[in-house]
Amino acid sequence: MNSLLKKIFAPRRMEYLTIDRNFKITDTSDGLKRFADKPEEAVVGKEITLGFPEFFGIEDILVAIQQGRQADFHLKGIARYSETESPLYIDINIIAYPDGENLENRLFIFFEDVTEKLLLEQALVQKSNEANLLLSSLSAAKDYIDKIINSMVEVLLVTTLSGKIKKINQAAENLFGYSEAELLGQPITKIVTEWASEALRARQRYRQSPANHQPSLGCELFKDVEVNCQTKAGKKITIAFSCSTISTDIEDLQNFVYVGRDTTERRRTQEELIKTLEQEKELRKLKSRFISIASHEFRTPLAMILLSSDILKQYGHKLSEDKKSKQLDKIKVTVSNMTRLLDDILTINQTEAMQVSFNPVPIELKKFCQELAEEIELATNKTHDFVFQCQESEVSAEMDEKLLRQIVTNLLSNAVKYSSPGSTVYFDLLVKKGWAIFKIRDQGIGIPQPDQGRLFETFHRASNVGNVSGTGLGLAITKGAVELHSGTIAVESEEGQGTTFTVCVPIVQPKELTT
Amino acid sequence: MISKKICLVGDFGVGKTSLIRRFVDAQFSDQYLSTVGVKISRKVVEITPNNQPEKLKLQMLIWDLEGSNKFKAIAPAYLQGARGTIVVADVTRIDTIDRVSGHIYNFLEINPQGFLVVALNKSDLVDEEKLSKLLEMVQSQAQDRVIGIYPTSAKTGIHVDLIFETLACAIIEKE
Repeated sequence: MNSLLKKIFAPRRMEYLTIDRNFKITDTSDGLKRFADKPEEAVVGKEITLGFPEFFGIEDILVAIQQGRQADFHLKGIARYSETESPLYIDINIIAYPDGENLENRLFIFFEDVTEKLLLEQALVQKSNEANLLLSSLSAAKDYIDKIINSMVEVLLVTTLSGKIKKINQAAENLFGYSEAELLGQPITKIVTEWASEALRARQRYRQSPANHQPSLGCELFKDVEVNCQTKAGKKITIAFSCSTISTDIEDLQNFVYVGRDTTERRRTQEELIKTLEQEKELRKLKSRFISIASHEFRTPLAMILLSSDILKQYGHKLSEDKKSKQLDKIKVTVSNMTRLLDDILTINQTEAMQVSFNPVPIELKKFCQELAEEIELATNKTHDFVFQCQESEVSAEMDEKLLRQIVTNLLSNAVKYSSPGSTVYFDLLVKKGWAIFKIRDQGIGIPQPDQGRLFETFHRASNVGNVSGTGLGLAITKGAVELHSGTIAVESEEGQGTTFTVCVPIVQPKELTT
Repeated sequence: MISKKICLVGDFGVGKTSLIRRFVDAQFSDQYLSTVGVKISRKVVEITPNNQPEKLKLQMLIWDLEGSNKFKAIAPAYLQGARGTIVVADVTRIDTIDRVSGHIYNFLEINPQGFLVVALNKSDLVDEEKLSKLLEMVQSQAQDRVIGIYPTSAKTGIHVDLIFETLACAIIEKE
């Protein structure tokens, strides 16, 4: 039988051996040794595991087959090769057959050379595994990059050179309120409403001569340039964008990558800060000017009082009673002017510090204005003609009487002060759409154009006032009182022709303004 | 001399062949060559088991099995008679770590008394924090037959000898 087997297996590149119950080799085919791990051990009488290590550990299986409890056992694709040898792959099949001599089964083990098949399989597996590893690696890299992009706090947009949106990240979706699908393919102008000129120039330059840049490296076109954007809901926001180019899979074709931060809040805070700083600066300037002017305004009358008191002290015994009285009157008038100046300064100070109390009460305006006009006319010794006009039978209003008196008195006094005796002062009271309009017009010296814009500044006096006395505080106080009434004051004037002041005040004061 | 069969199992491309090459030949190559069938290597190690007074020489018969993929599982015949196995996963591919428990189960089904070590290979490619997290993940999948989980690198050689020797000691001590 063995010689027959040898003849059968030889052309099929198969070899065999047999072993006894002690796993010792009892017979081998001629070419068996080339399949052994240690050929010198693959001889009759040697334990099979010495030449064939793959049988180590499966002794139980061999016994089971020998005893007929298991039909067979296969081991496929056992490799035999070293660095220097070409590979050899074998399949092993174990079966039992009856031994006529010992009345027990012998184990019959076939070895088949499957190298060609396995080499082919190896080539296929290699390609398949390499492809799978590459896919896995690409997929992991893409997943990781996507996670990075989507966890960015900054907005990310990728557009074509012409500005069509190709990709946005989660932060952009959240900020602009659009989903990615809504923005893909849309022009970037859908969200960017106004480009800063710096950004426009940089992009324009790039589009005109991309060859000047190194596309493979990508280049930064601009950095942290604030542009105005609009969300889906129409909210205006400011984004500080940086823009670079990236190369696409087509040579010489670039895309723009925009990365931006929402700076709306920062910009607003910055603007507020600048405004506050400017106000603070203006206030400091004003205070400094105020102190300088106030000290000057006090020095002149004080010098006058000092002079009069010196005259009285040194020459009092030589002066007549009449002259003494004149000096004393001078002191009295000067002190009175100083007191008025001090009162005005105090009022201005209170107005600026928002400390003036505002108490609107019901008031009949027509009667109030008429009486006030008469008071002023009398106080100024009727040097001017006063014409008061009001078409209404009565005007019921709600205003602060004290402040209103200040407004009207200041404007009427100025009209008298800066116009020639004998001229007319017109005082009109009108009512229009809930507003009381006070118009005070004189035929006086007028206000030069350059002074009109600064008329309500403290201590500012028009350049043409000449010797007419004044503190330069009256109109500032008037404006403050008008504003406390939520009103407005305007002036129209022509030098040498006269001046008209128009004060508009709501007839009824809004509740929240009252204190 | 005592001989013991151990196997290396795991998904394709996790570095089973590289670990064996590092352990047996102290060599490493970056080039990927997929294994088909099985390759058996031998290495004699000297170990001192805890319950033995002297050093022992042990011949390890190391079966390098073809990596499994979703279409091809490991042939159970290869695992027959193995006293221990090293389950190898690639720390850069989370899916290979997810399948560690499957490999543990397959081995213990055939060899319920066998021992296992888990090697989280290519550990030189990830940071410490990720490695700690992966160790925790594998720890939660492990059973009492798993005697150790180690980050390994066939490239740097870190913990490579340790995994083989730990497995060898455990096999000897229990017998």
